Amino acid sequence: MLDKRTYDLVNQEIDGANSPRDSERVRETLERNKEARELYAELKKLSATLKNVPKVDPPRSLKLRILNSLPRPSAASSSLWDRLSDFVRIPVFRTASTFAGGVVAGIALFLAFSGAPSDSAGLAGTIGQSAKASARIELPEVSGSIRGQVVDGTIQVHGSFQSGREFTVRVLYSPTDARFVRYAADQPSTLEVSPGQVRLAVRNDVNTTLSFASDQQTPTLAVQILLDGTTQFEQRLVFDSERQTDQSH
Amino acid sequence: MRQEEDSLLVRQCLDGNQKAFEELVDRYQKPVFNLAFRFTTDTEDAEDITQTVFVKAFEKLSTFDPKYKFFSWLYKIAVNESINFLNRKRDFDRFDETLHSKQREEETAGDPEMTLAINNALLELKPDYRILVILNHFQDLSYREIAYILDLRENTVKSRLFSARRVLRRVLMKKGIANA
Repeated sequence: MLDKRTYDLVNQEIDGANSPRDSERVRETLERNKEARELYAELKKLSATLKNVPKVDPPRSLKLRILNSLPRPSAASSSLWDRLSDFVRIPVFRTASTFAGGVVAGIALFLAFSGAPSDSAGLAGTIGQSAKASARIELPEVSGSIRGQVVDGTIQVHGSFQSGREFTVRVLYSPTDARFVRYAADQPSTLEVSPGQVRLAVRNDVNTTLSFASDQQTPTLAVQILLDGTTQFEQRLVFDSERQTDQSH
Repeated sequence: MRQEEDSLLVRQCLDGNQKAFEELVDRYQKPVFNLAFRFTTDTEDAEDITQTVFVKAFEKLSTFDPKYKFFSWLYKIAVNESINFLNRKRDFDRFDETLHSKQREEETAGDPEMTLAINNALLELKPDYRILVILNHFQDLSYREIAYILDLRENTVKSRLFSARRVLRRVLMKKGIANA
């Protein structure tokens, strides 16, 4: 049984934390003490094993997620916030421009969406400011559309997805801009809410609505689709303001 | 040198240059993400933790003392967030199930089987041992830096780290890895 002092010195030797004098002492101990030699060899091997574990690259979307969730700066120092306008120019978000025409289609789909939430229905006939956004998902395993609408302090994100498997829809938002209120889905699903994001795990075909309270007319939101924990699709919802004169259905 | 650059970036950020914070994110999102990933072994959880860490760092930037290294200060936040995260997970009683069922499939560099076995072995360590192994072996931090991050005395760091290694060796041996 090694005494504590030797045990510690051998461990420290592995970490390169010994003084030259202590290192020399360890070398001498290793020469004459089999148990110390075995411990040293085992620790050396453990250290090498752990060193061989590769570092993991974070998903490239993480930086945007972080910047997107920073507290909104004041008007005088909004450069970072302005940079979010670069969002759609980054390759992973390029699908946004591909579907420029999708905004029109999205509005048409929104009007046709049978599961329109009661809040929206309640706006019938009102006159006010509104903003809309849409995105289309065309992945090998998940397809569908997302439509967002901001009306009178409420953001509603409607998703209609077709898939033969389990997947996750993640909506990222700025906690200073919006507050998650509720969700509805026509299929069993699991909801997780944390500051700045809502994550909905669903399976197969599903229609869902996520509602947020917000006083922003053009809030910053992004939608991701994850398969097996990996982001496969990511797009910012760009809300276009428009004057709504009649919301009757 | 790195420390001075980081301190300068922090100062610039406090002066309103938020591009400087973006640079800090570029520099440290990978190590913070890796720390969180080694702790949780779940990619999504690691992303969540990393996001929270940087948001908190941004909010508390004015409290950063430049006599310390920025990354040590950031790791301190990261460690606290990782531990809080695990505690919250436990509260929901999903911790074990999640940790043992999910493994990062993309992580195939090196020997995937070995990586998986090491991840699982780390999970068998109690959190205060696990974090020591992560900080020492995966983040290459000194006893002093670990002591600062964990708010422990250096001697406590050493004795806990050595104990953690002993437990880890035993676990790895049970799994047939590292004939320790």
